[in-house]
Amino acid sequence: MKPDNVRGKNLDKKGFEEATRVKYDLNAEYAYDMGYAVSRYLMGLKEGKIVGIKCHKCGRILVPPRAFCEQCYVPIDDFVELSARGRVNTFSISYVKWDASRIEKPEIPAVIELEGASPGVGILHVLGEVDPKDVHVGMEVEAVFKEEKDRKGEITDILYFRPVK
Amino acid sequence: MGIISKVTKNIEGKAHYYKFPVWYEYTVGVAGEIFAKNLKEQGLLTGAKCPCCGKVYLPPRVYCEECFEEIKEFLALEPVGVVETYCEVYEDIDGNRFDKPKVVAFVRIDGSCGGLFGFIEGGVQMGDKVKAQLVEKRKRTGTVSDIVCFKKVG
Repeated sequence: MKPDNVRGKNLDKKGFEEATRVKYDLNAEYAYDMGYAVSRYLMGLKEGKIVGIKCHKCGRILVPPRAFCEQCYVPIDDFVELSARGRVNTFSISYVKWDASRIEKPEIPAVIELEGASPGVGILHVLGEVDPKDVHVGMEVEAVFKEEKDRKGEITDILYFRPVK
Repeated sequence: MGIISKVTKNIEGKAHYYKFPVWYEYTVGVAGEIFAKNLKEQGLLTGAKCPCCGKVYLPPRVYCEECFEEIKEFLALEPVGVVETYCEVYEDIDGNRFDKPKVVAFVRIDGSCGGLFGFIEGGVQMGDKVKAQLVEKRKRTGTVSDIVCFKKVG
């Protein structure tokens, strides 16, 4: 709460527009090297496939692929193609976007355990074509890819996961 | 041996490029608005004088940070001062090289205990008296970017 003796004031929209303002646009640019494992994953997405990686020591199948098994600490490079279907491991119904602006239609980020990957291994994506009320843990979902010509080798080549009918 | 050197498969590398849309707008506040008005209309700077200790703040504040006293007295000050310290800069904020170095100085404004940062045109030494060069009146925005640079006087 604002103390009584403070002369500062809250600005409404009009007050903000009339105020003297200093605007600054930060040049917050970056390039992130994906490494060979995630590069292979993204190239798989471009082909409409979901690629995982198998640890030759413990046999776990991990997705997204990584350069080494974090349990055995051995380098790995056995890529395997996984199914585009899976189950919802966990989800959230979000009425705010990443920049904290409010949205009417919620986004539903979810962790999806793909068929063929080891239990507890999942990828983070969003759900679509579903009523938020119907979403539940364990729900069977499938990936919906962009059209081939629009795919660029990015995680957004998968538009969303939708319930299997 | 590094962990990657054991990997023999030939895979096309990928990099992800992104620019965060990060920007902000800062509102200058109660005292800042008086500063903006004086700068825009008269080409003068504004100090805020504490009724208790007499200290003159520049940029102006609405409270004295030593006495916690509310400040209501604002003084218009000529944009002249003394170079307190300076530095030669060779790159902009993004690391782009300038053709020739720029000189940035902290100028203590006469009649106040504060001052402003600004570019210096022509050589200066610490202790030199300088005057602010302002942009044309119709182009002023009331922010410190109205001060193009400081130039040595006398």
